[in-house]
Amino acid sequence: MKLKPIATPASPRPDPLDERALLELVRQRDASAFDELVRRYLRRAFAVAYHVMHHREDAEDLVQETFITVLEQIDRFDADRAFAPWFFRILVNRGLNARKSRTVRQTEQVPADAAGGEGPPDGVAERRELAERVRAAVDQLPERQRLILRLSELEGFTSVEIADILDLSQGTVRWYLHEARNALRITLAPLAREVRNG
Amino acid sequence: MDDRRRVRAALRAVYGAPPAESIDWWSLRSRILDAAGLNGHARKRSLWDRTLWRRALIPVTCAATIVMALAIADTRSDVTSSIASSLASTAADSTDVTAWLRAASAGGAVPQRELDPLPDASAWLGAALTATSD
Repeated sequence: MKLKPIATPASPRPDPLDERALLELVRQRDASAFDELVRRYLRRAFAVAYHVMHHREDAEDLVQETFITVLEQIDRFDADRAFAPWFFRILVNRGLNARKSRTVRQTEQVPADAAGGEGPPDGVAERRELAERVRAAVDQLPERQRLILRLSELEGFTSVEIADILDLSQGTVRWYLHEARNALRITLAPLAREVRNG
Repeated sequence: MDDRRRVRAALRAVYGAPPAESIDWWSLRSRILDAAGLNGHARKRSLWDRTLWRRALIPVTCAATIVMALAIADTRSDVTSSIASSLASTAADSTDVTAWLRAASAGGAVPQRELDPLPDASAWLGAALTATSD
């Protein structure tokens, strides 16, 4: 696929907030507009990709493939609709398909003390125990429900956005979230009591 | 810490993405732009792409091979026949040369019967000496 060379400073640049104009330039294969699009979505795309793939290199590959797919299919994108849900739908679907069709790398183990300031104030051992309980509880959830929980709790997607990305009804997403949070609360309750009782 | 925050903190502890500082965003961005065909680099072709190209090349390659084989065979037969004819003429020439040498060493002329006949020589000479109308 051939892209136009990077636009000169004299070329009309889209308003930083005007995503529609930016996408129109990307549709015309403007290289600097595509670069700007990558810049805007790269970090969030990687975060979501990591939640789907559970591995850094797999997540990077997925992000790259998603941007290339976006560039290839931009003509099919309905300019009257929001770009983000379309973009993340491509990313999540590609990721889930990749996980189904091939063996992905082993899930990376995040250190138990990676929670930083938000973790319980007590020592590493307690955080490790907490992490083990959470992992046990979350691993029992179906793949899609796990993803919904992570997109909502860790990436801040609303249930409306998640429904759009995963092509589910909002009611289903809310129900999955409710169930997943309940499961985690039950799992974490004994530990919370221990912390309160000192 | 309320339940909601506790759940979120626990999730982040177990499933949080790697910290942003640990990721080389510039390299990742460059990789994506390169893959898109930016900076003069072509998009890396997948194995499937290559396979399709190879499939398309099979009949073309077969046809080209057959044409080349025929051309080579034709060239060979031409070369063989031209070598054979040149060998024959060389033999005839060498007969003439031998006769000339023998005559020269003997100090006499070469008898006409030992040379190739030139039956049309007088006709050629006549035509050359005849004046043309223009």
